[in-house]
Amino acid sequence: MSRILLIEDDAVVRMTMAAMLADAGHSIVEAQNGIEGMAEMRRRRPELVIVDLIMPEQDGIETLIKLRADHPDLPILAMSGGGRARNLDFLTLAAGFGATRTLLKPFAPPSLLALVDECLTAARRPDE
Amino acid sequence: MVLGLGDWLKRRRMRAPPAEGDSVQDAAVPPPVDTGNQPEDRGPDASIRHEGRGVDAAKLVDAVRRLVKDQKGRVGGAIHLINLDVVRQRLGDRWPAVSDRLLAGIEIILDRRLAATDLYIRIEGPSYLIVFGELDQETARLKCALIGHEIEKHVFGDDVAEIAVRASVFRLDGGDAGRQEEIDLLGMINALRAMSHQTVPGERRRKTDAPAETEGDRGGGPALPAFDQTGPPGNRANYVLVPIYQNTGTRPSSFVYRPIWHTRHDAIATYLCQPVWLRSGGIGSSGENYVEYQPAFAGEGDIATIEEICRSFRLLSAERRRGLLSMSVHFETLARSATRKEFMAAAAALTPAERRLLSVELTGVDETVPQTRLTELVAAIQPFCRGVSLRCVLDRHRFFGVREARIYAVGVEITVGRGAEAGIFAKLDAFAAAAENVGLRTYAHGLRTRSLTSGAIAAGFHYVDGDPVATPLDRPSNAYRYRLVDLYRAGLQEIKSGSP
Repeated sequence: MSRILLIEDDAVVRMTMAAMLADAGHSIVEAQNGIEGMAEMRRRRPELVIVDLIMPEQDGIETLIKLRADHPDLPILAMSGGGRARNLDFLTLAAGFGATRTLLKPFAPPSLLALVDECLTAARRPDE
Repeated sequence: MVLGLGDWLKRRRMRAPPAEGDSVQDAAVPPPVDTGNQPEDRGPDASIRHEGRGVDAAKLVDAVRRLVKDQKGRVGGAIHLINLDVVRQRLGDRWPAVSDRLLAGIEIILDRRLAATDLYIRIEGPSYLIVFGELDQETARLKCALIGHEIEKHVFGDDVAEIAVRASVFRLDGGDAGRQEEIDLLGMINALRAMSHQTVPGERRRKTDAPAETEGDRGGGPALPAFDQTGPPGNRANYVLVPIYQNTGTRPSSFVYRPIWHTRHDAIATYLCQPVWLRSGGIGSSGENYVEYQPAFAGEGDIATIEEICRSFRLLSAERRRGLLSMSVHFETLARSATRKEFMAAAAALTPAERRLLSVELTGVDETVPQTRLTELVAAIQPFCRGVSLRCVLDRHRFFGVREARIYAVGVEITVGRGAEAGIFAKLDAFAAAAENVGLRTYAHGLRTRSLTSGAIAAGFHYVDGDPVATPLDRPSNAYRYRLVDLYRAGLQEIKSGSP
């Protein structure tokens, strides 16, 4: 079981994902934007961060850059559907700025859980 | 003979070492003068501990005094203060740890913004005394406002909407413009040193108790609104100097050019020309926001802007640069025959080639205006430009007849900042979807944060502008490549450092 920080502005998506991850045995900390996410990061010290990229107040790319600067080894799973425009450049950019894995929305639960496992495994093998 | 500070500065060659890109001629300028004033020096002039552009403060004082006395003429130029006390207050205990880095960044901004004939001195406080060698007072004040805004961005990143550093820009001499008088620079510096640690209670009292100025108070011209020095609640700056009340009339004092990012072409290719009116205290207010505040300014502003556009095209052409320009024109301007006639006469000066490089945004045309009227307005300005767009409110979702009126894009001005973004994203989506349904392109002006900018891009907006993309410029420039990564790359260092 791992403590996962889930940063997602869409409440329905956030709750659904939290339920999926909880069912898989993880402990979930929720935040609805990057600013809240950074605060939770300091408070709860999660082992994995899942961050949406298109968010108000502080978007996912900016959050990712800040997280990566402070926590070089933290596994971060970046997810996005590219918004209404389906702009997939955001996912490419997230990978470039250090996301451990990226996930295209919408996704099926097994895809999410598989990537979460990959991220956590990668974190335990720092040579990857 | 009118001799300006600029003449003197040129003669003295008081220049910093050449920056990258400076000309060969610039490289011949001697290096900065070593003043010997170190931070630990606590002598009488210890507060003047840094010399921007290689200026020894004591020599500056002596030389300016000598210049003024010798020449007996009117001294051109302007002297201003940028007071950063609000920055220090806001950073609180963090100030000592970050001040060196911040001030180094601020000086990079000053070096970039100031001309060869300008100079600056850092004064304890912290404040910067800026001497503009050749600019007139109005232009110098505008420049200070722009510098202040850029400093806000540098220091506070995307949180600029919450503070008001720019409101700390003041002219120092306090005299009547054009009045012949000796500039007591030493006195100013001494006064600065004393005042940088205190406020002037009477100044605030006058702002809060005295009625707004009237036309008669300032000797003609339309009444300008009383300047709210307090800024946003909770962000009261430490104002220390007497603000100047500027009588600018309805004509704009100057212009700024806001770079617009074409998100689909990965390029900044258009520069939106916005008129700027100076308000009391030397604060520049630009574009639509101010026109909404002072509707009577719309006509004069539009006419002055099209004239400025003509000048800019000539300048770009002379410098063999190429860029698209954009401007707004108000419904009121076109609806009134007098202003419409004058606007059209000014627009007629555009050459056919220039018309192909200009886009015009119609503003103030709400949803109730009939399509026939809209078509007529577009037809009036279409001959002078490559395309006409329409500014709307964000809640508008019906664009019936807009495309038929030969409008190619609809857009919005986003006025919210951090702390109020949550509800905007869905509205951006809805606006873009509705416009797309009828084949219109979309644009968003004035995006204040990266998150709003990325939200607009994800919503499908074709054109975006705002401080996260690029700050306004004094003049238009070339088109250049700009991709999504640049939105974050530009501020990467700020982001990593937690953007104090």
